[in-house]
Amino acid sequence: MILQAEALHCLRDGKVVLDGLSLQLEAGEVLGIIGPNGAGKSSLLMALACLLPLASGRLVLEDQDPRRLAPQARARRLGYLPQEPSLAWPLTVRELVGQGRYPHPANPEADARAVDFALARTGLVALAERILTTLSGGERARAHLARLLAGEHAVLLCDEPVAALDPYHQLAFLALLQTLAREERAVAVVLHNLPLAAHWCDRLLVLQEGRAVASGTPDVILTDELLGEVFRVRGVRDAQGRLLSLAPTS
Amino acid sequence: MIAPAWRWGTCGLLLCGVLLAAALGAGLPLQEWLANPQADARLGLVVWEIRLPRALLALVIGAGLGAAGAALQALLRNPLAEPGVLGISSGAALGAVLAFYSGLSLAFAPALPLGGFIGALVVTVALSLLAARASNTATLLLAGVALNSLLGAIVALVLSLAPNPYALYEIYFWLMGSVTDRSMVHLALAAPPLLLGIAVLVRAARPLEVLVLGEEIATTLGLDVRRLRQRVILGTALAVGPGVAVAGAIGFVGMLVPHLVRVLVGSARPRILVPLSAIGGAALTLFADLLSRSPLLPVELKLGVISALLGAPAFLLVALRLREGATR
Repeated sequence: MILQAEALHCLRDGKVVLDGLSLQLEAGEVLGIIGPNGAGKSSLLMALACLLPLASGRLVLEDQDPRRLAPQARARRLGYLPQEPSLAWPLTVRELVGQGRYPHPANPEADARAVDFALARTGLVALAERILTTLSGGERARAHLARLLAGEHAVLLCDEPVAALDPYHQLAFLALLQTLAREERAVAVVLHNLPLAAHWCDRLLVLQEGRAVASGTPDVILTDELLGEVFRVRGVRDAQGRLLSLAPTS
Repeated sequence: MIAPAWRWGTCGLLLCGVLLAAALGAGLPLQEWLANPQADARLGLVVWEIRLPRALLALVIGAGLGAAGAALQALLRNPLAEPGVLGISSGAALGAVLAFYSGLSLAFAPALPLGGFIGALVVTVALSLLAARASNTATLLLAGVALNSLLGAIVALVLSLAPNPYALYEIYFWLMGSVTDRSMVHLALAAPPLLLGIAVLVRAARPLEVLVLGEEIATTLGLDVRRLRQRVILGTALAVGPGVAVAGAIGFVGMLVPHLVRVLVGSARPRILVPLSAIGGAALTLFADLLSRSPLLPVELKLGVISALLGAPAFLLVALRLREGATR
């Protein structure tokens, strides 16, 4: 187990956002975090990334408390990708990806190798010298993922990385994320699209009002009752019972 | 991007050298003097005692303003940030005016730049507290503008309580910003903290790079954002305060130069922008000082007036470009 969270309690602006939440994250798997708006999905990822102070609870990252690690040592293990980060000034794709190397001791050769690897894995070699703002949304999302890859983190925390992408790029992005997880990385990803989450995640964690209401493989937990109770929608399924899309309950 | 930046840096330093030569030698019969330096001792006096400290002060003050502007723009993620716009220069002016008025600067010469430094520091600390509380940078900029007006009003208040009109006149002109008649003593007082401040800001440029993605991601990349903020604030106070204290408020250099560098070099990365803005600020300030004492002008203008005349329209252009969303 790479990352473990036990009974996380967390307040933001005086409001409880995580209420005794626990999870485990294994190397090689994609954990999907789903739940309605305001359920605490983003807060959970931020807490895992040590960006939110915990009122109580425990985090264990490879037998250590990540909050006690030196910031750069923690950053080498935990990679965090929030929703559509905006850039304060223009960067080329290569420069953006190079930012991922900041937690590592300066070593031009190792940095160049990691950046080239990340560009190759995300299919951005041809676009490496382009300014990020001139790229399409799908390419930008891949560039941000490449930044995460260049950091060589053991754990990748992605907050709705496909929300702004068209269907083709959503699938391509999640397929890439799954492949990356299979290479002994642990991936936790917040998703709003339940059929996508059902298809691409090994396990799902369902949040509601800061608590985990269900956890397990998608085919087991995405029942009609859960969809109705938590998401107030109804599932449309194929002959094998796989979730195809969603419809209103009434 | 780094290699062309080196070329631009070298060009900038050469430009500073050419401007320095012009500042020292313009209008003097240098050939005769170099052939026989003993013939006219007054020429040596003009070059070494009047022109050299003036030109060197313009260079270091400009470098401090340029570096501080570039670093603040990166820290606040806002291309309009500048020590003058945010009230840091007014804070330094108030500190220096208070040192002047309390008589401290008469009893103890370093009190004047020290007052300027403390004034700049107080404002930068206030700004950083606001930065921590403000929900966005627009709020912070507005707060800076308000702070700037408030400090300007307090300076005006102190001036209106001036004991005699002659002192009032003197301070008024001093506040306009000028390096005229500054001596090696002024240079010796201001240059060490200024250079230290520039060094702090240039060294902060590498971590500032990470802020491009915002403070949250920077934190998850292992950056101690709070410490970086403190470093940039201290560096800004050091790089701006002493300059205002010995030469008055020289506006717009801190905003204009990073934008010129951005357009010329084609990059806004702090590692490129901060050192090149220091060089560019030095060149622009010395150039503005040369203009201010150009024989083509009927009277000698104040350096602060020239820099504002050049800078204000540029500020307007930048604001318009931002509205069009043309950030490349």
